[in-house]
Amino acid sequence: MMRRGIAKRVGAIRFAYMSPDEIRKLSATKIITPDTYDDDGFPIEMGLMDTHLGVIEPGLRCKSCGGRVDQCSGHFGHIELAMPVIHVGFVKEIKKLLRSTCSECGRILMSDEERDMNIGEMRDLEKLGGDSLDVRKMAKEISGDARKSDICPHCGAQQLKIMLDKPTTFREENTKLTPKEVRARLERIPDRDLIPLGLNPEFVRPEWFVLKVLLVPPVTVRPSITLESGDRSEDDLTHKLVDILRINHRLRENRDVGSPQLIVEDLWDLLQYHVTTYIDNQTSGIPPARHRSGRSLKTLIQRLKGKDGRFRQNLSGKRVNFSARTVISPDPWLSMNQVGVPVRAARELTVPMKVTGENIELIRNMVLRGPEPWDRDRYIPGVNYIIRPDGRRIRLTETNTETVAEKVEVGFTVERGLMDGDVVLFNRQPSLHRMSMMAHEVKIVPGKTFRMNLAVCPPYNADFDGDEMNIHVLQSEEARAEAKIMMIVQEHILSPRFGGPIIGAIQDHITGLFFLTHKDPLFTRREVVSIFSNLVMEGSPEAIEVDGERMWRGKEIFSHFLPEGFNIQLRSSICESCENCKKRDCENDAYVVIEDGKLLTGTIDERSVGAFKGYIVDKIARDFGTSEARSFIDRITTLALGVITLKGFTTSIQDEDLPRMAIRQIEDTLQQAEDDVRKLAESYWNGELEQMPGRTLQETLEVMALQRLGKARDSAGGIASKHLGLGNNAVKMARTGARASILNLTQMAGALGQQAIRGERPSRGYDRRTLPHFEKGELGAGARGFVRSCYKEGLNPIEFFFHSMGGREGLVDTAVRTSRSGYMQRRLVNALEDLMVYDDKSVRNPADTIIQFEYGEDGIDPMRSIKGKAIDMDDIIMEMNALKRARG
Amino acid sequence: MGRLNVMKHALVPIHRLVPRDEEAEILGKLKASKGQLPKILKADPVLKQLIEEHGDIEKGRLIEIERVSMTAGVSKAYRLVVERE
Repeated sequence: MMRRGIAKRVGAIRFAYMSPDEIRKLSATKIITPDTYDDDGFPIEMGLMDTHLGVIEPGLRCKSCGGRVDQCSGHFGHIELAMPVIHVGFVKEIKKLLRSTCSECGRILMSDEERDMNIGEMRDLEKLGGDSLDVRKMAKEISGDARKSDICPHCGAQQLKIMLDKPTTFREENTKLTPKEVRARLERIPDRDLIPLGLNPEFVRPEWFVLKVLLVPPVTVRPSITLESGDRSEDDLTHKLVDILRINHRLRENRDVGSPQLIVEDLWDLLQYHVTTYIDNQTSGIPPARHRSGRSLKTLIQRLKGKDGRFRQNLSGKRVNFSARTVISPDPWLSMNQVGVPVRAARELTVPMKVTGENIELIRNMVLRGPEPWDRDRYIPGVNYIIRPDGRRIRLTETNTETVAEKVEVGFTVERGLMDGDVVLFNRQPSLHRMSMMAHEVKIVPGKTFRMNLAVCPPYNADFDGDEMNIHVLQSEEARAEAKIMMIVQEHILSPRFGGPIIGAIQDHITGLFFLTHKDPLFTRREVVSIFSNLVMEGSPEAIEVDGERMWRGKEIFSHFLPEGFNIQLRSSICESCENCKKRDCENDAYVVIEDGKLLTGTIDERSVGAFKGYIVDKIARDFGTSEARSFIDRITTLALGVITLKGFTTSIQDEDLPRMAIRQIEDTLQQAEDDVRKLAESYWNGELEQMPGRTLQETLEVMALQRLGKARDSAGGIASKHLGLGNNAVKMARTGARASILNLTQMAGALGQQAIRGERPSRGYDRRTLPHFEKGELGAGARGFVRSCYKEGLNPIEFFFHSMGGREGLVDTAVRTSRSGYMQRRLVNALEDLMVYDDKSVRNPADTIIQFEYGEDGIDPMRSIKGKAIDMDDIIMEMNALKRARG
Repeated sequence: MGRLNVMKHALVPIHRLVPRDEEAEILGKLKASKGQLPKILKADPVLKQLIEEHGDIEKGRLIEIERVSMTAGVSKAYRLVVERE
């Protein structure tokens, strides 16, 4: 690699304003004609496309430097304005200067002593390391002080109040100040008086804020586009400059022939408008300049500002090479550390290989195989390019493999296609946390989609309804090592967000393990073989003899995949939280006990192995390392899929069928609740309702109604779930945590319940009623959005309307929330991105100042914490007891 | 009615003026120079109260703040007294 020493070091950067003289000196040509091209399509001299400003068409040469399109980066030109105009970017500064200086003599409105004292203070501030923001703040204070006196201490002139009529017109009391007058006043301010006002007279004079000369950017900055029809389409900036030139021309003519003042002033204002919109087309108070199509023009400020501006679009973020994007699909045969890359992508994405004495023969052979080798239908990585030490790239084609292979020597670099085992980064947007971008090992697969193990869906927040993801191929040995050590999926099983696992079993995995372990079912030899058919087994679980036949216990099968010496006790998701927990003797088999790697009691479900919750996964990752945790998740998910495939699993609307008796019970409960609410409303109208402290009478009614109806839905749900036992597949999913919740079932089988708008019962629409179907002032359940139907039976039109109101609110809320939280996160990231935790646990910024004395005040890494705590005492005691037992 | 003592307010953490002879030890422990510490204005209400108790506190002195922390129970922080921002 070439090593270049540092020739020069940047000492400081200063932004200052360009003087008219500098502009003229910088200018390659003066622009006078508003026309761009002549009839033959060549740029007009002294026009906006003058070839002195650089060239955009191939074949032409720049008249300033003689360079061609790719050699000349363009030169600035200038326009002499007939009359001065104010620069919108500096109106605030101009206002400050006009107000704090004398309108007659131009001196700052304070005594010389005061001024010098302020200068001294400002110098002190700079010496103490105050940055430009501090100086600006101080200048604002000083100018505020100066503004207070309305008589000039130097010449005694009376100071009139100066107003700014947005965006660019200044007024003194009631007389308008023309830009010319403004400029004259700014010219009068002596250099030394500028310092306390925050300007450095060595670099800036305030009169430059009123433009007499306008800098014209090179044509390369505003290239014209030739359409297919042969028409030329000019850049927005060019359009704006044409406008300026036209008005400038008319203004000059009118002024020179001595037209009436009124006409000249109108043209002057028009010129001001065009120059203002040329700089910022979103200046408040004036209509934005528009294209013929009605689209507003993108002028200078619009090019830089915002998400699509130069900074955020092109400088902070760029497009990258060695990346690919396609739809994702699930692949349970892959390990969670792997990612399936389709052949098409693998051929295009390359890894550079350095040719050394050791691998030269191997690489020559690879090159000989060409860019797209196959071994029958097995993928073999090809070579796309070889790079010579001087940086020249040679493309490898089917035809030149032999000649190129001969050229390969030590020191060359060969770009080979992806192959199994390469490390790549896998990413899904929005990248909200570090688990949104993890390293995976490549596995080349047929098809056109990226494949991934289902256990990594939660960290990426991915599903397969058309989601796309990106891959980035690492290009250096260091990057690969770093990714493999720090970014590989297994290192992210524990989340730094809440000190628990974010990767684990989901959906069918959990249902499958439920079938395997709940109430410890027995499996025949055929069944066990079927379950294990997709697993690479080490040894086999022990069988028991039942009626002379060899059978396998589900819990024994699960135990086979637990590490030896693993101990844990926890309550399953299906636990009913009885008042007196019988622990091991739980009749629901909801208390999990694992001793020395054997599942003794309990059902394995979401709380044991689920993503976000799984305690077993959590503890294995902590006590046995991430490799063990990865292999555990890989194996039990495959195991679970074996079980659920064997058992078969489905759910349908019939899962929400209730016996007639239960339906009647639910109806009674709801009727009772509606009657109660009606009584509440009656007592409200009769003034008998007891007011709750801190609430109005109406609020009291609403709270009580909401409470009563909420209770009604819950008891409807209670009745429903009592009749739908664990034998019901929908209930199985809800209880084990595989999918859906009891609330969902309640809404399907029982009643939807109260629809809330902003947390309250719907109340608006018509005069004192929500819909014309109700009486005015009706406050009962149905009139205020209570839905007593369930999804299964269907809603009546009125209920459907209320339900749509609630649904729409949810939709709007999510839209608003995502945009708002996105912006909030952006601001947080910008504020925190360069802070670092040092080895003494202090948090410091790049200036080495302390932000926090100990990280998080307790110095604990949340990823290595146990639900936020440094140690889990109960767990330690349990482990000690296990140890004692083991030793007898 | 006496003036309110802000330091007695429940929401104001405990502030202590660090004696000069402890400063070196604390800075050594923090591996930081005075300039790297967070600042506290001399015009801060708490500092006014401290000045009332201790007499004038010139800039460059350290203030120790003991906060009740959600994560750590009690956490200590230090601030450098400055005249103005």
